[in-house]
Amino acid sequence: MCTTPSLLESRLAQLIESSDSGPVLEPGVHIDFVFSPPQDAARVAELLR
Amino acid sequence: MPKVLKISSHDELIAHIPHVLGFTPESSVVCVPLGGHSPTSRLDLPDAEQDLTSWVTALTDVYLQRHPADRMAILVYGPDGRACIEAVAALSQALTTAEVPGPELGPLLWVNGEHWTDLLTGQEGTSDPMVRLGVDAEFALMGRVMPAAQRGDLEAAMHGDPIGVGQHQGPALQRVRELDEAGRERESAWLRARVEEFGQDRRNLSDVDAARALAILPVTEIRDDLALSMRQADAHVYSELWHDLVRRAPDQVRDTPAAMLALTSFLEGRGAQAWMALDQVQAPNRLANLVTAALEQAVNPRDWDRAAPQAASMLMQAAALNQESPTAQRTPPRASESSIVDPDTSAPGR
Repeated sequence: MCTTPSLLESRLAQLIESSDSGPVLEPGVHIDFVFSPPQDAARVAELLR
Repeated sequence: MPKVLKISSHDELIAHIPHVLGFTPESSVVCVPLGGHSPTSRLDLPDAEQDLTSWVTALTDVYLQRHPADRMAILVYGPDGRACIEAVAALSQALTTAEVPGPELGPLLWVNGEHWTDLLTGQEGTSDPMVRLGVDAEFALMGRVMPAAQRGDLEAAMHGDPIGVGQHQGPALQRVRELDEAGRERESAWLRARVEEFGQDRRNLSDVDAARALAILPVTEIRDDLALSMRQADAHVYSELWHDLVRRAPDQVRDTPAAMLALTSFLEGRGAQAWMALDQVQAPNRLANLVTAALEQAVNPRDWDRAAPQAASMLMQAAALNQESPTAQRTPPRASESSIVDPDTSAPGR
């Protein structure tokens, strides 16, 4: 049984750990998050201005 | 230069939402931060009044702790006006009365079909179909796919006909079982080249190529090699490929492309599609577990590229160690030592 994380799994685990900027959110809650790509950020900034 | 779509009315905001989410929400709340890097989010309305507190906490944890926003619009969708208003009232109160500063809120819209009500001003209106067409056209000009009618359509789109690929799957799997290390390297090089070709012509793989790709993809090193060479900006291309393979894959080889689709959808920032892809994974799968954690923790995928050099460095170190080891050089692993991931035995339960 392989228990060592692969490079990809390690990378993703690192990304999750490095983004820890607050309390752990409740597991099991399926929120659909949409992170806009950079080109969309300007679009949203214009919203209702 | 980024294209900027100015949204200057409630109608335009409502027309904008399906393009952001990829579908038209139903019985949901949608939080739209204005400016900054906070994510847009959609969550089902609570099923019962006793669920309201935990429902509010899920969203306040996001916008007060993880991804604070300066300003935010909230849209609540559904036919039950009382339930919609109670939910958005509880959420807005929690966001504005917390110990930490919350976002400036507005507009707060209740959307019931074509009809909308601004809950702050009392203004009401009906969505203008011409405005919707104009927003659709803006997104079409940017090359975006039109949104699905509803969230469930994203899941339905992941089911296609596996018969064509299935006719070639048995021999493809047998072939992979018999590969030695050199053979796996050749297959890895073929898959990289085939994926690159797909990126250029966007033509779906033939049944033979799809069976070959699906057979080799569960080899951990090959899967990782593909994923780690991907930039976040390219994730949508990979999503197209994995989506097609998930649609056409026989059940026995469907989990790996589904987990990869979940990963690339997450990297695209498309949470709903990532959740739907995870729902396709049937056996315990460690990559799927990690994508689940990333989605649950609202991880921003923007740092994926920044970490790529480190991952590449790890690859190079691993390669160097292999070269330094005479045993590794001389003794290719036997077929029985293949690192093909067996989802039944290699991962803790999801």
